[in-house]
Amino acid sequence: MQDLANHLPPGTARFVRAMVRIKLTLGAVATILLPLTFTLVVIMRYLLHADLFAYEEWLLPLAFWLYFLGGAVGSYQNAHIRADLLESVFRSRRLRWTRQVTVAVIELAIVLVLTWWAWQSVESDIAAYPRWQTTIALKIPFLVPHLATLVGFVFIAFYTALHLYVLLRFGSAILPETPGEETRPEGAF
Amino acid sequence: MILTGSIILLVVLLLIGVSVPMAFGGVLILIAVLGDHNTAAFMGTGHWKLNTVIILVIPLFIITGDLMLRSRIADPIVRIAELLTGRVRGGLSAAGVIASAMFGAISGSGAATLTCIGSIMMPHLERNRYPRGFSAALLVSASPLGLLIPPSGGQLVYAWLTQQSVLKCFLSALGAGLVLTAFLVAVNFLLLRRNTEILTIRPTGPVLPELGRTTFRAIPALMMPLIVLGGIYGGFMTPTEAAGVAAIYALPVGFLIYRGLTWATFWQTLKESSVTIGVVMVMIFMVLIVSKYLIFEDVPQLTQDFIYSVSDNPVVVMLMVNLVIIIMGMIIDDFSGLVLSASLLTPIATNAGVDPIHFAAILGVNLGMGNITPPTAPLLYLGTRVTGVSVQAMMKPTIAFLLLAWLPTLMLVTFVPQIAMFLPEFFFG
Repeated sequence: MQDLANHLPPGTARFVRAMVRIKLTLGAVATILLPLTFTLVVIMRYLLHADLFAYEEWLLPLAFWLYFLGGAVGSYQNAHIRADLLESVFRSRRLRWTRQVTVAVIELAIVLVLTWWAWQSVESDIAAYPRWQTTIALKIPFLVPHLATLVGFVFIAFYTALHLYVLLRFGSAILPETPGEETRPEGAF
Repeated sequence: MILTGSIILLVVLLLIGVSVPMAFGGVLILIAVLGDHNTAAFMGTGHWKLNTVIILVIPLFIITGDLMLRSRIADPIVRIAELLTGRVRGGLSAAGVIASAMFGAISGSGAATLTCIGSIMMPHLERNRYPRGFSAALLVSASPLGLLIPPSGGQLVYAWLTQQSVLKCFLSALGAGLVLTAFLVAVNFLLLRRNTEILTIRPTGPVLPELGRTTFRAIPALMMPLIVLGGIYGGFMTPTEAAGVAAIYALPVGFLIYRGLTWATFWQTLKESSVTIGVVMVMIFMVLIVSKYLIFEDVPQLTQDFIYSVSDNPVVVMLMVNLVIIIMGMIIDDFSGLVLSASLLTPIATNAGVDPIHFAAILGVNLGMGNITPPTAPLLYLGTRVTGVSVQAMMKPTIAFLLLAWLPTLMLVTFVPQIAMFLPEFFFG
């Protein structure tokens, strides 16, 4: 499988790979924290006869960061679910390239609008400071999960733009001669 | 206007290959343009809908499924199924179906079921001269059993969205899962009845002692559904807590008992799970926002009016509801389909006299079918990677299993409510 960063200039590739590594590390830690927390809740309830105080107030914002950082890496890896009907119907490499560029442009346009809406949400949180909404017990601002959405969409937009850049820079030559799931390189739509 | 526009836009975007979350993003933009909504509230709606502990069962089941996948726990399960059915012609492939049902109860994931059972069964089937396309299609067709046999993340989400009892939804889907298992096994024997090239397994010793030993070896894996279902049914744990405990239980099972997990594969599994969780949850985030605004725009009522304009006969209404879900399942993934169907179609089914618990099973079968029906057929595509058989080679037998096993199951589950309701009524009255 080809890595999207393989098609980028060396400096940009290093930066992109480092960002993906950081997101994967944070995601992996958050991933194991979820079941550990619930197991701890059960252990505390039955063995220690105590409650893990307001755990959902920090766990849910953590989960939002996991969702959106994971979603961003999914965009880098081109792992988001899509119907590949036309990819196998189009035999010509040029046609497949045109479809992939069209899809990349549409996705970029959509995700930029979503990013704008996520920014509006964060902006209204910031504008409300110091009377912004917080969780009841731990007073964690709602800005924390809202920021995860904004950061996630910014990265999704960034990786979508990179996919588009690679498609435009290398043209249809980047695609294999014959269509099929084996042939779609990671880094192309 | 919004209903028609949303459907057309969604179908067009999905057909040209736009990813599911971005296609729903496109629909949201259309709703913003045509409707009178405060766009600053869109993301807040998604946060509000996702900001609940129960939704964490989805990531927790993904983690459990991935950990089980790497733990080599499928080996004894496949062996049990082989010992039970492997001695007759078509028995080995039937063992694949039974192993998928058993593994589905452990992993709760169609993809994990296909990867684990498919990768073990396919070489066995090839060695015993089962047709490759047929074998791969059968394993693919049986893998959604992981979504029907409880515990299932999808049923938990349905229960949460429709405010129903989790256990009743589990039991309702279990009835459908058992009927589907029987149909797949029967169709398998039917299609292989004239194939004389197939070899049958000759036992090297007495079967019962080996069955006993293998079952003993499988006990740690088979404990998984007992922990989840027993924890919830006994009132010891909430569904989310049970899913969390199940994921942690998978660690000693994977590291110490089946030894499939090492620190390196564990870390790799966590990284891969984080991406899968992100992909699924961002999609659900978008679908939840869109479904909320479609409800604001009175789309459920418009859909109901449309269906009732054709006929108000409950049988016709349910046929149309099924048709809508099948089409939905064909173009979007099962979780998105589940969220949309649960929000938009449950009221219509209820008005047609269908109990929401019964509808859980109908929805489960429909969305399982969607998983293996092109163009959006994630399990079918995964099947090509797991078995090394092309989609083209799998297509004909897959269609046979859809028409002869899945569709009859759907019709039976829809129109014979006892299949879905027997177990919930037996246990809960």
